[in-house]
Amino acid sequence: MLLVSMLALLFIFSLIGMEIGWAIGFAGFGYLVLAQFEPFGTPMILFSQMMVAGLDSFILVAIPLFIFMGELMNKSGVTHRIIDFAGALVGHIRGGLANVGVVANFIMSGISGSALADAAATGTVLVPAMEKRGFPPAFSSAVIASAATVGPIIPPSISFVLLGAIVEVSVGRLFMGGVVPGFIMFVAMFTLTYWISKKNNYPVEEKATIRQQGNAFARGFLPLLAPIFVVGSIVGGVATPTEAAAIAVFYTLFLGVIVYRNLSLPRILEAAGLAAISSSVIMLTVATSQIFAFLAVREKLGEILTSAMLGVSDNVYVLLLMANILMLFLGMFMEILPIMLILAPILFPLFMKLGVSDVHLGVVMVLNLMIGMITPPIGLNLFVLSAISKVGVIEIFRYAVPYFITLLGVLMLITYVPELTLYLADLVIPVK
Amino acid sequence: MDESPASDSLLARADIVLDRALYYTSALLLIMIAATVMYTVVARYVFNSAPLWAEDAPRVFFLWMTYLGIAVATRRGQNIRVTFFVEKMAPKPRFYLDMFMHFCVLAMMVTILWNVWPLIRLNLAGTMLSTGWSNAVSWFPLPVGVALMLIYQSRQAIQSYRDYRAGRFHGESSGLNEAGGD
Repeated sequence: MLLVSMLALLFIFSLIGMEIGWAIGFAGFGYLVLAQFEPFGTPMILFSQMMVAGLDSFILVAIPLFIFMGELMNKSGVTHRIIDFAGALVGHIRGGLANVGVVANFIMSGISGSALADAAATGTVLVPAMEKRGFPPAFSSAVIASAATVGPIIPPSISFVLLGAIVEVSVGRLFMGGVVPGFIMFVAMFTLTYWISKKNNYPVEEKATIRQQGNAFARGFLPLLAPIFVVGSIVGGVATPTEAAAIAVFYTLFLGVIVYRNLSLPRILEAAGLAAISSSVIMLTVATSQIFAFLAVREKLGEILTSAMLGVSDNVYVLLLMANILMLFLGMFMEILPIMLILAPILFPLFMKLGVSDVHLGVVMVLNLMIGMITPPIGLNLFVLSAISKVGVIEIFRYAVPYFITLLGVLMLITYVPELTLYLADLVIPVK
Repeated sequence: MDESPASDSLLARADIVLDRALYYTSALLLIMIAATVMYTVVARYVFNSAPLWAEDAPRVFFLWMTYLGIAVATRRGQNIRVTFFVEKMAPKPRFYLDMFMHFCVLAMMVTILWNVWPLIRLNLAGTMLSTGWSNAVSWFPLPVGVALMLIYQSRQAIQSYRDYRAGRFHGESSGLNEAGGD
């Protein structure tokens, strides 16, 4: 009864517009209030305790640092450099700026680690430019919103860092596990964009000369080293994910202050402030989700869900399909962090008992949740692009349907061919 | 009781000063986190001795940054929320729903504040071995942040009520007047 009330409160308050972090907290709060009428009620002090204990983790410190790095990159004009580089590379191929959007997001994914940040950064520049070149704004928004979903799959990834903290999976192995799936997503979306553009005769850009391509590459080369430092230092055992994030922040500061000379102290402070606020909003959700997850475990939600799934089938492939459907469904209505924080402690033990690798499941989970970012009613990437292009969310989704179907195909491939995820992870960081 | 324009403008100025102070304090804390973590890496590889506080100090800064940052986000209405369904509601039921949600959040905040004091008292007794700081430094950000959020959330509720009375309520009760410049 208490569990049902808690789940109902979560859904109702999330959907009626309470801030997501507080809606999750209120579900836990409602549970604790109702529990006071039980013979052995859970003490209310648990709520305050988990609000601190749930965040008191060194690995979580990596998240504001990665966001800070992304903000510094934005302030030092890296987004424009990367878009120029992508333009010189693929602007002349049918689809022009739409292809540039896909490539720029693929490159950005190695820098920011956040789908929302990538969607906002590339969308702000490319959507108005695409509109000027005659692309329908809903299509431009759909391309950018979909292309940005690759962000948390390619390392570094805030989602993988968080998942590593929740279920104690090696963040380095998760990072490596995301490389091939991320590349497959990129190829699939690029091919689809080319096909749609050819069918609709969308414009192309003039082909850049070798010299222009070289110049664009040179301008965008140094920022591209940031993900190599991050992944390299983690994989090489030189630094923890949090330390790697700090190294990346200082590398970005070096680029902005010394190389590009466009990062002044006020701009650095502004970037730090924006990153601190964005990260705090995420952390409120993390803290309240920890309370929710703790109470869900206490109410044996994991066992209930596990026996319900095993009641349908004990075949691992069927169970994976059910897990995918569950995550896609929840992804339509909830933000990704609470889903991850609530479902990961339940699904990981079940699937690991069945022989599924934690890294494989982690990548499948994040990919599911990324698809949720382009599905209404709660698709955050759609909201970001809607705010930029002033086109309605449903209209953008109508153009994003082919991308949604393509990403579902990639999801099935990644789910049922675990080698695509595990080959590189096992090769670079073998399980001890 | 009407406030005079002078005291109104003084309060508004104090509000902006507080917003900026919190914003820049969060920013500085994030820079301190980056610097301390980087120093740890350098100390480990260059001086061959990582400081004892390598993980504890950044974690404390992180908790302070988070709770001050959430207060700023609350003031500026930057928390993530779903407005897809409520946007389709008429202003009156939407206003009542908005007030109800403010009440729920405020009740939660008061409960957090009430229950955090025993935890702080408990932790005041101990110190962190690595830094020599009281264990309570990790617990203080919660009441400070929540108290600020309580103020901002109450102000938003009052603002919603005033807007509704003046016929200006459209449901955008999140976010007070912009501090500007950031």
